[in-house]
Amino acid sequence: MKGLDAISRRWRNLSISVKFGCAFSLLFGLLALEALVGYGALRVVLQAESAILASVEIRQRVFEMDGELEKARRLHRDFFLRYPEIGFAKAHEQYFLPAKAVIARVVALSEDLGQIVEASNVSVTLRERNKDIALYLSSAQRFGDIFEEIVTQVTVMAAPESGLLAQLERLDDRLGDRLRGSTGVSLLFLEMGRHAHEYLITRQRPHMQTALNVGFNLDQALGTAPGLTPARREDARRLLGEYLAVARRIPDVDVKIRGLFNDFALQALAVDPISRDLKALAAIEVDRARGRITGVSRVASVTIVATALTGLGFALVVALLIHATVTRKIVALTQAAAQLRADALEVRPQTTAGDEIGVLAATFRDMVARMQDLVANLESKVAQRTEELAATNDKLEQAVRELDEKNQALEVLTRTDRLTGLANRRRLEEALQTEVLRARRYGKPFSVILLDIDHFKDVNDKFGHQVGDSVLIAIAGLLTRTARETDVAGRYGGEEFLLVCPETELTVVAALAERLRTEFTTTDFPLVGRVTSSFGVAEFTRGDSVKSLVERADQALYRAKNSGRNCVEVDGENDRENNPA
Amino acid sequence: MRRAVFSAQLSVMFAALFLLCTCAPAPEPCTDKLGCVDIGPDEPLKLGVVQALTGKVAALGREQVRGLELALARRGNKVLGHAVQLLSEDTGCNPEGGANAALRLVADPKVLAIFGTTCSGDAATAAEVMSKAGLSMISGNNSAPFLTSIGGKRAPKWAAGYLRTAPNEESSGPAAARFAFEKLGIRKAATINDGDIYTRGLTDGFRQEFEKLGGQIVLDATVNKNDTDMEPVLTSVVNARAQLVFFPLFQPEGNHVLLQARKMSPLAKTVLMSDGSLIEDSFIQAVQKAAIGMYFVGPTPPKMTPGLEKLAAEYRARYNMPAPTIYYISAFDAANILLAAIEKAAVQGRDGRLHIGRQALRDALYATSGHAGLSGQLTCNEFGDCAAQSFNVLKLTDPASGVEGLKGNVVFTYAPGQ
Repeated sequence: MKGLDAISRRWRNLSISVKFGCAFSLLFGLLALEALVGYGALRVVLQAESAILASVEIRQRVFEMDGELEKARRLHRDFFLRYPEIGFAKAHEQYFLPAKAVIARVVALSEDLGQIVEASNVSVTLRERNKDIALYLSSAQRFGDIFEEIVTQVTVMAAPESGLLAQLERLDDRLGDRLRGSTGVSLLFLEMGRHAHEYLITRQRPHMQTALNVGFNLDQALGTAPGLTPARREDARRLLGEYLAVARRIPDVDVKIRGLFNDFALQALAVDPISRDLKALAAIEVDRARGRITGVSRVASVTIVATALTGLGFALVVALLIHATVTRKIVALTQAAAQLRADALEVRPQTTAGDEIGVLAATFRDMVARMQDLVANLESKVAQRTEELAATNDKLEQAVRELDEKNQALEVLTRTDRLTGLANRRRLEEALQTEVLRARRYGKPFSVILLDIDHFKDVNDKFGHQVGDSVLIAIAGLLTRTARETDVAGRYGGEEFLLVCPETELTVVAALAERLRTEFTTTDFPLVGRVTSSFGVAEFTRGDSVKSLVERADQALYRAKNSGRNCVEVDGENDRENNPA
Repeated sequence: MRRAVFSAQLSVMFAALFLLCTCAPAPEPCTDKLGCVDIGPDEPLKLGVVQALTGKVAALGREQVRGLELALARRGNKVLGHAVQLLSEDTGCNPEGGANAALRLVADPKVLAIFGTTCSGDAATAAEVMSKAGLSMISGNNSAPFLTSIGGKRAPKWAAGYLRTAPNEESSGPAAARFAFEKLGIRKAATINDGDIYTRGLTDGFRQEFEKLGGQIVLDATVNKNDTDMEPVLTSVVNARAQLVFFPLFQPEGNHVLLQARKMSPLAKTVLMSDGSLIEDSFIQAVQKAAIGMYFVGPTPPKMTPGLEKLAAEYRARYNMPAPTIYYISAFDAANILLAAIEKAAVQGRDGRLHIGRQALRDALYATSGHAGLSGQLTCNEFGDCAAQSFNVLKLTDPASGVEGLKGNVVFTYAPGQ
């Protein structure tokens, strides 16, 4: 239990990559194991299949080889059975040559068989039989050689005309002819022939040796036999010598032939068990390979199913572990994040693992706590900031107001003559320009009065500039009071004043100027007393500009000055006086 | 870092798989022109034994096997740390038996060499087969001249790789002929062989020497093996008026010749002479007094030495009987020469396997020189003869003294070149 806890703790503290690494390594291991088992089973099955095919082929070759060898033996047997009947040449053609061809096939087959066994993956027992196959091969080759040698020896022995037996028979006939009529030697001749014949039946050498001994006696008897001419005797002795020489050779050739046949028997003794064993071993090999396939298939099936089930179970365990240690924590963190988004600042993800998710959860918790603190402080700070902002705003508004006021004052200052408080020359020119434009567009009349204080220099010189200024201020007051609300009165320069009278015809303005002159003349200026002014009046005419209008007013003022001052001169009045209608 | 661990795990896994798939080290190449025999650390060293293990001369074949067994026993039945496995094949003492026995052995590529044969007729055919297959073969019993050399030239049945420690009986027939001509004054002689190259070799040797000396071979007869009726051939001897019959036959044909000759009065004075194949207790026991006065020509037996006494004691201890013939000694020497040559030719491979080149083994055998054998000092010549030629003519006077008495009654010794 302690151990499990330790393992569990150790597992929890592992990093995610290590956990994944362990899990996937184990899964990979299981997959690799399964693949190996499958591969191994397949390999064994393929090997067994190959062994079966090889064994079947081996068995087939052995059957074929055995059949061919048997055929060669039959041909060999038939050769000896049939040659006395059909003759040597025909037997040679019908049995010997085909037998040689069959032996060549046996040799080729056994060579193939050896190569198949060598190259195949059959059992060691069968492979070790390769030496038997080699023996089979060499025995087959030897069979061919021995067969050829037997045929040679048999030819020596039994070939028609040239064979020893034929020679013996021929000599026997000829010798019999020579000895015919001589009783004593004929009896010996017959005895010799009988023993030789006995030999040919029994193949027991003593019989032939006896025949040779009788032949010796016959030879002795020929020397004294009556009834034979010397030539016939000599011919008979020559024939007897040839007969005995042939008879002496026959047992030797027989021994050779018997040895060669014995060789066949020994080969058969060596070879027959080989083919029998090879066939049996090949059959066993097939059964063994089949058994191996069955066994391996069974083991492989069980192993594959077991590893598959284990792998499945293990995959589930791994999935559960991953879910418990990774996915569930990620889900918990995701839900916590969602709640946090929904302003649930009290949420805290409960993850204690030592892995990256644990670290992330701890970080998340710290972050949420920090956010909660920040949210709590934020309202008070907002109120404080709002108050600070309102105060600032008030100050700003106050400043704006003050600025407006100052601007207005500045505006007044920039458009007002500082001494008199009337419009200054700039303001007057603006007003003149405005009225010129209006008159041009709408064809409305407007007029101007330009006045200049008479002898104002004398006032400054006599009473000082301050008194002069008070005179100017007093006249400004008079203008302001006398002018209409729509008129603009202003100091045009020095002791000159201009009064712009919108939508006012010249006559009205001349009357206004007169009333002003009168007002001046009746006003008592402190220290100075009476002060007069000269007035020039002009009305806007089509084609006038500000300049031309003021010039015409100024010309009228000039005339008023020239007319003795303290009078009103109207522009164009001289023209009307000089050119009365 | 973890990636690196994972990669290392994968590498280890693949390396393990690779190692699982790795095959055994490749065998070392063989440069011997006749091929090599490779013997694994736990594999036995295979030697073929081709002897006459059944039939009339089985006793001689058994003596050869025993000589080999005694030589192996002295080495703890191991050569170069490998147990020696003997694959025995019976020849039946006939040529076809020799050929087929050799065919069976050479079919096994692990068979290194052949120890055999008993009969020279087997040896001729067996040597031909084994020589073609690249093997080597050594005999302690074959003595027919046809197998190695005649008159300092290759004999008709010479085969590369064939050697023997039994002396070439090229001089056996001449020894008998010289004794007959020079000591007995024989001028007309008859020979009887059994058609085998061994007996024919002896009778041919006898004829050539006898005729060279001035004698006359009046009969050169042959009997078949297993013939029992020898009267016809003996009648021929009588007819030929031969003073001596040289019949180097084995038992029982030799027995029949002797016994039937003794019954034929015309042969009462005819000298009968055979060879070493009848210098056996079994022959003396079988013919008893009939053999009195009979001559035998056989190899000069080795001198009794402490080494030979020790070997004889080992023979007695191992087989609970004294050795019936001396031929186990030449077999012992043949086995030792073969085993020494194997040790000389063998190369211990780095793969733990023993590599023995077949030509290297032949070369080592032919290079045998001054081998201190118990049959004498042995030096193998280019024809495969390792023993010096020395033959005694023995006369049996007392059957009761057995073969040892016969061996002690040396009446003539012929050792050309010594």
